[in-house]
Amino acid sequence: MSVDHENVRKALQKEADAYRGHQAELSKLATTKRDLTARQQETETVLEELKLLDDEANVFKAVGPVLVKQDLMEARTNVTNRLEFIKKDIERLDNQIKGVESKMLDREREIMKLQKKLQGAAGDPS
Amino acid sequence: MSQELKACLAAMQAAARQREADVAALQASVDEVARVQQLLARLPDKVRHKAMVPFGKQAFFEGELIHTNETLVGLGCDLRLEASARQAAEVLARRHARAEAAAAAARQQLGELRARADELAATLSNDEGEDLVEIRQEYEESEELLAAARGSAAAAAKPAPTHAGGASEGTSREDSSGAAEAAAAAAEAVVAGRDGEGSGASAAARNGDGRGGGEGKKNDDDDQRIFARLEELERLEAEAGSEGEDEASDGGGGGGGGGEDEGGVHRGSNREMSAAAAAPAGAGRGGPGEGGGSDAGVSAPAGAAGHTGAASGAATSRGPAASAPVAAPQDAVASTAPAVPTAALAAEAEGPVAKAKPAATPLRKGFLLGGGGRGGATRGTPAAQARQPGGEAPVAAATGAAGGGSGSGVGASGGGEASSSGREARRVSFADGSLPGEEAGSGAGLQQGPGRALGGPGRQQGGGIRPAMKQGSSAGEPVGQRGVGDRGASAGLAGDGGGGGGGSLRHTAARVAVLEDGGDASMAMARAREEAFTGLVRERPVDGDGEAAGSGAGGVGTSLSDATNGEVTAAPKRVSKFKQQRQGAA
Repeated sequence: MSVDHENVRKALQKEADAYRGHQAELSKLATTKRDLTARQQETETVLEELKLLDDEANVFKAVGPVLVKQDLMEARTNVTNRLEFIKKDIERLDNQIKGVESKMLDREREIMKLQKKLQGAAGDPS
Repeated sequence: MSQELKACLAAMQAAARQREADVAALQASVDEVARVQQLLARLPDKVRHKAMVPFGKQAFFEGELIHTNETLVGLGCDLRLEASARQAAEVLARRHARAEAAAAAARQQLGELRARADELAATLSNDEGEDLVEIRQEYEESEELLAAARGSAAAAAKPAPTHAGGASEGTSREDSSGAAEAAAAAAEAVVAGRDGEGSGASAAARNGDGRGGGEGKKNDDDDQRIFARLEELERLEAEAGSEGEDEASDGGGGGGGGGEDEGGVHRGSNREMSAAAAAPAGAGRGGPGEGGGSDAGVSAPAGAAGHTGAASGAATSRGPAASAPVAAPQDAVASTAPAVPTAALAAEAEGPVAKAKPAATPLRKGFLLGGGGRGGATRGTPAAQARQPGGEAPVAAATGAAGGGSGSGVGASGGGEASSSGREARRVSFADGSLPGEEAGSGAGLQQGPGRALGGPGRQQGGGIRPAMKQGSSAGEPVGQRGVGDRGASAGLAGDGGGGGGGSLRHTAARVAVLEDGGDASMAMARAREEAFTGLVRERPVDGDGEAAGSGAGGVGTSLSDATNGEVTAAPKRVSKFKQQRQGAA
């Protein structure tokens, strides 16, 4: 009984560690996702503004300390592409997050099972 | 647990603070945009604007703003737009709107966070502003007991019903001796199944001499057992919840087992009751094993019978359920017999059994009281009493459902009360035992239990009691536990009284128990249980109890109060008490 106990405890410990690892991973991914989302919003705003401009407006791109005149169309295209990239990145990140979450769920289940076993063993030794 | 809650609360508050910072930042950006907009609006007023132009970090020079209509508006993504002042103003207006929206959303989230944090903080302290005390009982023993009880209950139910049923039925609460013995036998069996507590044996022994009054010695053992039982019962109750019903209805014997089940069922209704029920259940189980004990026997059959009867009747009311289960276990045990007797009295008492969970103890008391005749007879035997409380107490103690014990006792008395209100009443009545003769009616009477003062929090109907296992209520529990011992005795006594005035029964039962044992360990336990069961707050004035006791059927109550006095201060915390008990027992 106690041997089982020990084994169960060790397994539980391992699961708990894995779970924590997943959690850390998840938090990192979450941070990344937050940043990406912010960038996406900004880019959308820019695109919106660009769309509102009439064709004569001058748009400048800031390259270091220099402002380089850019074609409005070109600017629009660039921003649109950027937005696409960002969206794709976010999608990928979402998938990653889902994967980690599901792994976490599995771990949770394992942990619960082990805990039950532990309790059972503890409770039923007698 | 409260630590966890506090940690959670702290985290929530931290999040709220962070959100606050976000809101502040967003608001700042909104203000900035507004400022620039104002400036832009003024620029076209003049061709040249005189200005102090910043030059480097710490210098200015006088200069002019020219070509103010041409602006480079930053769009984001390293893009600048050449625009007129008016166009810039439009862009800024849009920007301002977006910033405002973001700030508003953040503010709303902050409000939500704050609300949640406040809620949590509020729940951390009870309504009265006291700190919520999380009552936790260690499971080990209880679980075992529960399991054992279950098994034994089942087994006991079968055999017990035969024994207990026979015993209880036969004795039908009335016949304490016969029942006691039968119960003892059943209890033995049950006990053996359960914890193998000596209580069973002791119960039996108790029964034998318990009646006679050999209780004193066993009390200690009983106490431990009782506590163990109580815990067990509690657990059982929680788990049995619904099952108890069926069993309870089975009959006294089954009632014992059923009581548990019922208790289980009803348990849900009364947390306290569950505790009590658990105790009784545990006790019931153990009770049957040990319950056989003197009063238990009597009470058990009576209690069981009444219990089951009540249980069935109580099916509806949680209280009864609780009490029933409580009663059942207790009765079943024969220790719960008090419930039975009261049950008999109350018949409905079982209903109160539900309430009896907590009432279980009252049942006991009532049992004692109700048994009046029986109670008296049983009471006469200190052992019996001890058994009752002892039986119950051990059970109750075991289960920590001291309250249950008391509850059952009370329940017994409250048997009549059956109704859920009875549950509440249970507690109350216990205090006073001033409950009207009938158990059911005793609800009101119950409430009066001044002494018992089921403690506001604890008193609350199962829900209140349950969650309120606050200090106060828990105290009641431990008290009940202690009182269980007493209660057992008193319960037995009360049981005898037969549900006479459930409340009063309870009360008197308790009192009686007190009187009987005059401080026997079992008595103490019974008392404790009762107290706990009835949700009486420890602080209830002992005097009140004494008085109530006086009014109690048996008028034995006074002794109870005395007993409780000692107990009152004894159990500061149910948990600790139990733990101690267990440790002591272990």
